[in-house]
Amino acid sequence: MRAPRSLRGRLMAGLLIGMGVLLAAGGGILDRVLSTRLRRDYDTALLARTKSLATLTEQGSGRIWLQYTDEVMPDFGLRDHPDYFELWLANGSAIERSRSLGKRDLPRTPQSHASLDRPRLRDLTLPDGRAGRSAEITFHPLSEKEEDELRDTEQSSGRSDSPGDLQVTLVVAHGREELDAFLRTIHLTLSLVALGLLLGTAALVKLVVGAGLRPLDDLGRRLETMGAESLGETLEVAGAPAELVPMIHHLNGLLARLQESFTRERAFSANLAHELRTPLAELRAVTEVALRWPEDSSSWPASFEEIRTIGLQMETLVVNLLALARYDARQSRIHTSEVSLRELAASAWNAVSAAAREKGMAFRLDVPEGLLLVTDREKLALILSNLFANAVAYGSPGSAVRCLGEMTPSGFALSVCNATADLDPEDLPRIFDRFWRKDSARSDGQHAGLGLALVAALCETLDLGKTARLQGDLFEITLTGPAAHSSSLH
Amino acid sequence: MRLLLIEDSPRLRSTLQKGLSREGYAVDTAQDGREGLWLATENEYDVIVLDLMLPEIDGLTVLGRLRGQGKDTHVLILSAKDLVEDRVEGLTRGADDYLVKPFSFDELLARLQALVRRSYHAKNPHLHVGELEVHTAARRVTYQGRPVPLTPREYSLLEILVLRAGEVVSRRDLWERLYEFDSEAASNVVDVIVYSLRKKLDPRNPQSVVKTRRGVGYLVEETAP
Repeated sequence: MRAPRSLRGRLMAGLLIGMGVLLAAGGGILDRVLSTRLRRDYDTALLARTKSLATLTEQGSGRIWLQYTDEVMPDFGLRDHPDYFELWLANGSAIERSRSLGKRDLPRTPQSHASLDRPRLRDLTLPDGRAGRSAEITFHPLSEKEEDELRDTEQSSGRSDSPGDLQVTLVVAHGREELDAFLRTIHLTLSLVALGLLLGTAALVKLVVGAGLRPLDDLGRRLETMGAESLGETLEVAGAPAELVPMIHHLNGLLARLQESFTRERAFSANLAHELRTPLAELRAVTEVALRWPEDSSSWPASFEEIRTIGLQMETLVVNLLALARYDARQSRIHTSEVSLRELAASAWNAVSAAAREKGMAFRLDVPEGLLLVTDREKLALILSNLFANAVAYGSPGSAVRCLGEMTPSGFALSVCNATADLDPEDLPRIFDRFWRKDSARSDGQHAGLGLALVAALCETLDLGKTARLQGDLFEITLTGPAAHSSSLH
Repeated sequence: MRLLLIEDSPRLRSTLQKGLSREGYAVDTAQDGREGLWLATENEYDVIVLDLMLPEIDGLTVLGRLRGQGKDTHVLILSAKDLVEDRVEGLTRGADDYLVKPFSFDELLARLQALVRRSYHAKNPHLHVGELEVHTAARRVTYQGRPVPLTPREYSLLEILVLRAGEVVSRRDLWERLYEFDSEAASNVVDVIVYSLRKKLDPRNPQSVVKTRRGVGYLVEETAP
């Protein structure tokens, strides 16, 4: 199984990789700049040295000579790590070389076009085996006369070759071990600094990411300690980072919804337990008391009647629960036909009219004759009979139950309205809950609180909308359906 | 023994009242918390059987108010609520026992008898006073080794006197423990039961077990013969 991706790990990896790349790039650029600059300085010094040797080269009377002595330039003498130079005529014959060179030659470019202005620089292996660098220039040494003129006119350029001038090539070589060592030191220093910075950054990133994500850890720990019994608590918003505030609000909303669901679930379980346990307790008590005094046969008929009543009551409960389960599982098939809403409502009322008369309740049917619905007749009849039974059971004695049906722009609406003194507006959200009853003691053994739950499930099955509202003491349940469900003869 | 049964289910209430009365208990009933609280406040009961989900005032509130008033009557909760936390809450709020519906009538009787014994600090269900033995669990009496068949009321009266052996119990007290709140039984009915009981226990020496303290009441001496 793939391990969950850690936000902390991702942040740290991202930041460290980014920082590593930046450090590598920065270090590389710095190293390049420094190396280039040092090499340029090195080459400049080498060229200056070469040029100074060139100025010491003179010609006259068809001869070339170099005014050079080991005392003036001891670097070219016999010593450890010496410098080297060699001077050639154009025909390739060496006319002068440093004492350090002995009989050996320095490499030079045949037919070199290197000049004072455009010297040729290259790396090479020095005669003593060291790594070195050489500067090569080809020039016409000054004659004594030219030198005097040059001094007089203070001209440093515009010199032209005159017939009979001799051209020479000078190569000066210098060991580059110091430069290379220095460059290596720079590479190493930069690498160590980059590594140190990377490690420091890693520690810093870990610290900062840890501190930054601490509120998330706290939130996680807080959520971990929450259980079904603490869903009513809320997560603290004060002091939370701005990024977490919306999440905490959402979590608090979720917890509130969970709490509500748990409360409903508990109420459902408790109510179901009550609805099942109470008749079972009655059944057991009636039978055990009857069996305790078997000689009292005169009380048997009453006991049997009690048992039958309890059985019927439990049967109704079980049938309703099974119906709800069937509707939930969408196992109930829908058989559509054209139904006259007025006829169906009148028929459904007949089933409860006797109970309504006992409570002195009247019935007002305001449904147009021609309002036809294409729906499942049996299920709609169940909805109406449950709505009417509910209205009669909980309606105020002497009041009227009104059934109003009408076509609307979007389809049809059917309302059942009755006066009641028992309901409060806060009861409305739970009115369709299973086993919900206003009387929390559930004393009335005749009702289990499943009637409106059945209405809700049937509406779901028939794709009907349902709303409950309370205006003063008037309680109204309205069912709505799309136009496809309804048609009017008028 | 006098009980108060606070139960909103009419069927359960009447069945239990019938069964318990036949067992010799005087049973007052209440159909909601308000009526039950009033009866429990106004009368002395040996045990109150209390449902939790009651109209008007719920059972736990009734219990809380009774304990708040200093009433230490034993309370047995009889409820459909079966969760551990429900039982814990009921017991911590001052109930002495908790029985979940549905229940066995025998178990209810046994628990009621245990609570009655606790009222009189008698843990042993076999009560001995001299040669008189009262088996409270079986509601059976033997005297001098001979079983004595008693009616429920005779048994209850004898049980009260044995549980309070050595103490003179007034006729009024006995009447209140034997008859319901709304009973129309005459005040001399206690004397009639005592007379009948004495005859059954020892016809030759009627005063041997239950003695009369003239003008006060009746007594079973701790060292009865």
